[in-house]
Amino acid sequence: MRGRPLDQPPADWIAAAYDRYGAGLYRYALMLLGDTAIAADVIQQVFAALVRRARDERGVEDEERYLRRAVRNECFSALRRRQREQAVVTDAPPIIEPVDRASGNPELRAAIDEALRKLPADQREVVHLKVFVGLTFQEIADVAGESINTIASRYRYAMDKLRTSLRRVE
Amino acid sequence: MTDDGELEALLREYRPVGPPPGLRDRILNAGDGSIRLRDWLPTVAAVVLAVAFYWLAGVERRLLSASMPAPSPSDHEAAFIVEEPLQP
Repeated sequence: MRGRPLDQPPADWIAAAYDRYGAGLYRYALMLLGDTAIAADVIQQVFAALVRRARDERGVEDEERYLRRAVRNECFSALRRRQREQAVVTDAPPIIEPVDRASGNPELRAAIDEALRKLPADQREVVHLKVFVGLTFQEIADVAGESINTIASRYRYAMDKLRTSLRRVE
Repeated sequence: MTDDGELEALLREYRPVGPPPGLRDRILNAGDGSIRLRDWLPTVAAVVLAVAFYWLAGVERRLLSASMPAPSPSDHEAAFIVEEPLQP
């Protein structure tokens, strides 16, 4: 979708953008950060920036791309801040849930959750965008601003680490 | 789990947790997060009035003290006579 149509009020545009992309962006932020509160703050900041753009009559060419990049930038800034402050996330709520809530194995879910958290953020990002969002390596490379080879190797490392972590619970 | 396909299939039985229910309202009610002058107008007006009155009071004090003649030595003596009986 291209920028805000001129006949649409900014508030309606923001609401429509949130309804279309909000949940996916939150999941992306949560996977990168592993922290529900900071993920929500990041999404709020990104949409606040979108409100400012709407108010200034500055649209965005490609909303989804703009929002995903904005969330990515905010998340990596938050991760750098957390690293500087040496903050540790303790007793964090789970970052994944079973698609079919009735059939979820709590132990396996906890193991996958922990294995994902142990990955470096950039590897977790690739797993998220490839497995949960379904992007191609080329599309992920565009989002991350990296070469396709870098993305493919991050994915390979991530899958190897996940396999090793999950082998223990098999 | 021997290959990526199998591991991906396992991962796809799960998904990242979705946003909290209140996030949409929080975002839509928050606006652009910038400080708007309109919101601070009553506070700014109150501060400006307080400063103006303080300044006017200072001017008035200076004008009064300039227009009053300096007390003569006999005034000091009269004040002493009046105040002395009040001392305990």
